[in-house]
Amino acid sequence: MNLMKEFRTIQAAFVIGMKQRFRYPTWFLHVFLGPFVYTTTTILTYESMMSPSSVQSFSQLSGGITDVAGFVILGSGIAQFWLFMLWGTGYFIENQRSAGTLEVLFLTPTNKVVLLLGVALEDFAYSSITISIMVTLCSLAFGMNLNVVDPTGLLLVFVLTVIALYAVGIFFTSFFVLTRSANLLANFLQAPIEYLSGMDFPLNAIPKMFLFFSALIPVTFGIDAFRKMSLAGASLTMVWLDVLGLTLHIIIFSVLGIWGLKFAEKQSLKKGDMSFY
Amino acid sequence: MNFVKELKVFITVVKLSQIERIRWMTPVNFVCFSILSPVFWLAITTTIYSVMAGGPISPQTMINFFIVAFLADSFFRSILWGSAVHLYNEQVAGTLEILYVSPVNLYTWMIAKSFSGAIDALTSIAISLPLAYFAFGFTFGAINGLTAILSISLTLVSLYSIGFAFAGIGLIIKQPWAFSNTIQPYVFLLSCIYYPITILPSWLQNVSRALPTYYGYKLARDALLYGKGITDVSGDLLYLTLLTLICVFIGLLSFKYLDRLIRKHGFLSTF
Amino acid sequence: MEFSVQTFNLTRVFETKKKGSGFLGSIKRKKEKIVAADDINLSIGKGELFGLVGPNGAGKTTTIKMLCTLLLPTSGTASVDGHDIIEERNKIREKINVVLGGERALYWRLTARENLWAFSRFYNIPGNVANARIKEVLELVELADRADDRVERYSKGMKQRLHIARALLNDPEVLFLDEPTLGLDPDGARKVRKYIKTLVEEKQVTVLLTTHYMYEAEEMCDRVAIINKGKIIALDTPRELKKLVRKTAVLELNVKGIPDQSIQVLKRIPGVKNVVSKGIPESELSQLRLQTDGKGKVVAEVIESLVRHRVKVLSFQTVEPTLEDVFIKLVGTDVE
Repeated sequence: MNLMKEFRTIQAAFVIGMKQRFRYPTWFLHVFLGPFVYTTTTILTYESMMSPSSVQSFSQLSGGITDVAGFVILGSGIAQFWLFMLWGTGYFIENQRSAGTLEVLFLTPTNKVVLLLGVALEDFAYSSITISIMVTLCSLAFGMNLNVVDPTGLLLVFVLTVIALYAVGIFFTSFFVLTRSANLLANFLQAPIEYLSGMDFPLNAIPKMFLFFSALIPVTFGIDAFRKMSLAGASLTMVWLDVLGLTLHIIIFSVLGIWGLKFAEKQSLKKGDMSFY
Repeated sequence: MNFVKELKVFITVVKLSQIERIRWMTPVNFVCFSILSPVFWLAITTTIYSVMAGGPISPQTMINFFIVAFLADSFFRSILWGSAVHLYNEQVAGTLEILYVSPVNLYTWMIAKSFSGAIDALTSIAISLPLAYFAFGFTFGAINGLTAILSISLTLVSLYSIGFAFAGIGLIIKQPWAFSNTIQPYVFLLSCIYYPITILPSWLQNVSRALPTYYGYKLARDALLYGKGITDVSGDLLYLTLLTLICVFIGLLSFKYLDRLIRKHGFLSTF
Repeated sequence: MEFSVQTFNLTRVFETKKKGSGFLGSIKRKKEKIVAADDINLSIGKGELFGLVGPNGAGKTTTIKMLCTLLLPTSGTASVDGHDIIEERNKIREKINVVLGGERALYWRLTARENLWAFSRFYNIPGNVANARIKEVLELVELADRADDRVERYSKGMKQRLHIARALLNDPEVLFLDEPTLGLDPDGARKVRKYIKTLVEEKQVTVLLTTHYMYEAEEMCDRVAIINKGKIIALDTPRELKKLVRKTAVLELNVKGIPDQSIQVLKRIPGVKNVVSKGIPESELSQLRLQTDGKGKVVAEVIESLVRHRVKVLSFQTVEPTLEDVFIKLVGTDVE
């Protein structure tokens, strides 16, 4: 493995992704205000029902968390990572195909997995900027009562969640290519995953029969662990099940993603459909 | 203006859009987008209300409150967000310049496209309504059809008009999806789809009351949940009418200006 | 002789589904096989400028895509610079480059310089080398003064030149050019041909060029393969290929108002081997190109036939046979 070569690939994917994102002035609205407003709407939805007894009801379902705004902000933050990943990393090859740059990109001697890592890194950097701004603005507007007893563990959970998300992203890249239904799937998947992963509400609120499907989504574990460790004072050992879930997802989706990418490339070469859009 | 000619163009564009839609609507797409997707979107919000049970407002009251707006939103969304991307989609397909060069009235074309979206919305509502009833216990309250028709019609006209401006903006910024995705949260926030206006700070309430969509959702609820007649909502209706006239003026003027800008800077073929 | 590109019975078959007739036909689609490239055997030497000519749909682009590893062959093999196109894709990709052309295949929101920088990284070119190389290729394609403008502002010709610049970044040993002058104005096309010749002469780059402009292949290429319906029907130097029509005299006539039946009548005149008509749009004018056996009577009979059909002959001349005439003789129709 030529490390310098892989570094150059990642660097190029990162830089051109960033340049294209910030090329037009509309980025300001998207980066600074969009996620903030979206989260605010969810918080206000909760506030329309807010009363001491309703907060108690919420707390029973959320494992003792009473900070509703904080609950929503954190869930929304992870949800934004998910959405950016879906439409960024996951949609990367379809974006290249529609732009007409897929063939010339595949002609380069880059390792395609490394190329996607570069794309994922750019995605992550951009998501981090927007989500940090969202969390800051929402915390200032609504308050967030953090209760962190294990900051290192929290960081580990965050890192594992992000890795799991982008492993899924790489898997989706090939999945979208193989099914030739990127737009359809990406659009469709938003709602079910938002529901099943408990991004906006405690997972205990959904019918038990859906929990199996929730467990298939890596972000479910990330959100659950992150909330417990940030708002309920849980330590890493208390969320070991979530950590195990994340780790398993990382392994499974990484393997599926890398294999899927190689298979998708081979299928594209067989069918000759890299330029078809 | 030759109305017969415009009508022919209108019917042709609606027909073509529907053909495209029907070809796209495979059984899988139908199940995913017409059944499952609305169920999940409804489920997300209704679950939020259910989680906050035990307070003075019952979750079912808020669920009904939200679902009426959700159904109305099917119409409004297709017009407002659709407008931003119709011309952009033509641009990406490479057919925008050909469209411009033809003697088609672009306003007629855009209205027809949005109208086709509204037909799709009707289909969507027809499916969502029974889903809302069976899955989430939604029921209408007392219904006043005249108020509903009048308020929704006025809102649609205002949104069609604003849609013209969005169409022009979409071509200039070359990222209409980003534009739609950026504006959408504000519309959701300020139009009070999920909560009553009293939740917002007073200064934001004033901003809400300047949006036609706020009145669209509010009057839909008044008509379909509370059975309010025209006289009961005359003030809101009058204000909506005024807003509609302003939107028509702004929309037509903006598109004219933006259209000129687009042709001046050669944005027709670059995307 | 050292070969840069070699193919052995290279074949590519595409499967499509065709809608049948009637109600059942519209539901159940018939599978149809299209042989886009059929037993292609080529050997291209190092530093050779090789042309692959043929009409639209002949299989030129399919052949190039297989050789540059964008498409897997259905059967047969090929090697580029000694590496197998199926098993050693990445090794080939380090040594080749391709100009596929068109309005796309560039990042529109980036400038030319940014586009080239990105691809220099993808080709693992070190930073200082890349900067010098970017400057060099931009000057070569005469885009240096517009290097910091976004590609979305470029004309078609400028985009094509930028494609060429991108293709030269990694100093390829083999360059595949798929109709590089398509859609360019005469000056732009002339410049592109100049760059290509410079590459071959000065840097010994092997170039495989596809075109449906016969004069381009004749002017530039060391050897030319004529491909039609996926098959190579002739392969030799332009000079040798023209010997196939050595005994052919070519008449070029500019006429006005010629109906189709007149052209059919011309084809039946003894001594006339082939007739190709090119209409000039928005006018009644046409240019006729007749391949004849060169005997004196033929010219007179042709003119007489045209006059009899009340076709106005504006001019006529006898010209030397070109590669286009070779193509017409072999395929029986105009290259376009």
